[in-house]
Amino acid sequence: MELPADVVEEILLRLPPADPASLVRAALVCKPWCRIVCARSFRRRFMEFHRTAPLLGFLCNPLFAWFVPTSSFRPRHTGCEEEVRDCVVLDARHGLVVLHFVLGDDEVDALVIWDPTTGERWEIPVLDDCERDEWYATVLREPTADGTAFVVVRFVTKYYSYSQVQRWSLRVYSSAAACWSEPTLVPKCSVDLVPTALVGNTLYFSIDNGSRVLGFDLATSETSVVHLPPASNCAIALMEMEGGGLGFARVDMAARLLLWSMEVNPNGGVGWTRTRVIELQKLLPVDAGSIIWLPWLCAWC
Amino acid sequence: MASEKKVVFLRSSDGEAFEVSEEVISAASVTIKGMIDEESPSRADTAATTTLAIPNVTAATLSRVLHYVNKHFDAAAVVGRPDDYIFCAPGDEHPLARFDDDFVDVDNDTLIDLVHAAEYLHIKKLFDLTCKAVADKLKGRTIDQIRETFGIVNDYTVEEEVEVYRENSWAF
Repeated sequence: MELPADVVEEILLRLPPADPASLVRAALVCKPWCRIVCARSFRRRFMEFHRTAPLLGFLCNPLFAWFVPTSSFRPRHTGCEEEVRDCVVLDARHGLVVLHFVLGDDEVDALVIWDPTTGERWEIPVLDDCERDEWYATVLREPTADGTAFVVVRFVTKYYSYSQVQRWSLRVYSSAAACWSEPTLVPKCSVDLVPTALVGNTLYFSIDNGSRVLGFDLATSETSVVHLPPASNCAIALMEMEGGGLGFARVDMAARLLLWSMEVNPNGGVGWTRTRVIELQKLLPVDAGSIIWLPWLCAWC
Repeated sequence: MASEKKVVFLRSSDGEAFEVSEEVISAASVTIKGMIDEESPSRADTAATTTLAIPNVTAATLSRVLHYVNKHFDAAAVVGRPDDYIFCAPGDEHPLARFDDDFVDVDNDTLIDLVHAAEYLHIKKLFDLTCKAVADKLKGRTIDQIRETFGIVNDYTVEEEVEVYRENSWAF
């Protein structure tokens, strides 16, 4: 019995995201199936249906951004290597990547959100109202009906040389409203250029060389600072733990990867529990000195 | 009257009538609920039962669909989740997960008939379940096997086929 195109689409939508080859084989069955799989709308629906983007590879910044595929599959029309040429990857989440370009002799900042699954790009206007600033930005999708809207959160350190004043703030850009929010001032700190973690409604930034974490509640715009267990200057990777709380990973001088999980006491106090120790030397022939600074690994997409 | 279970009859394309609780089928099928709502003004004061024609579904398929619908509604009474009574995903811990696995463990033609029936009757969870089962059947099959399974004619020319195979050699 012949299947109508809309039913075929529903079936192909349910192919496993971990096996992109099954989509390619489906496309080769006949031209109508190929048209379904190749449609941009299908790729978007596929991602929404599985609530995850297919894992294409990871992005790192040895100097400029570099895309390292982890499977032999790549979307035919996106050309990941070309897309990230001459820019720095800041963060990735929900299948979107934040790219930072510096353009022209004037070194103008440009912030681009890129969807490697569909190849779409959105340039986000960057506000500049002082002589010099440093910043970091992350992205997340807004839980809207069609799933296309996103939010960019930008951490900015502004320096006003005439008054010798520095100011630290967070601003939120909404793609639906196409504008930046008013700044939320945050305590003095230096933001680390490492990926953020989203736990519930709170976005966490690593600050002050991995010694503290700045939490930003997206619903209330309230900020909080959490101290991490002390360690000598090493980068951390923030993450959401399986149980739903905040956690982080850090490599110590013995090349051990330590996983820590945040515990909140009934009285509101915060503590950290070391939940796992992975001896990297048993997995890989590594030298602690070479990995103590997490080597530019930026984002999975 | 509320405690009295109303029933409706569904007549398949090949003329067989099946009895089903109006409450059950209205909760399950958007299409049939629409038909019942259309009928209701004319039968408000009569005790006569309604017979609805389901011209796109055969008796063999309709009986399976009603088995699914009844099973899931009964389960709702047990687990007390009326809003979610049809919820289940293959492999889920839901009490009906095993039932669902067995339900779609049928030959291709039967499964495709169920997909069509679920789409026509607009029974979302049955549609999800059967589409997923078809997708599972596609896994691990060669392209020729997929064509054979679904009776699809290959409309690529030899040149086109060579070209796409070359571009996508990693997928084979």
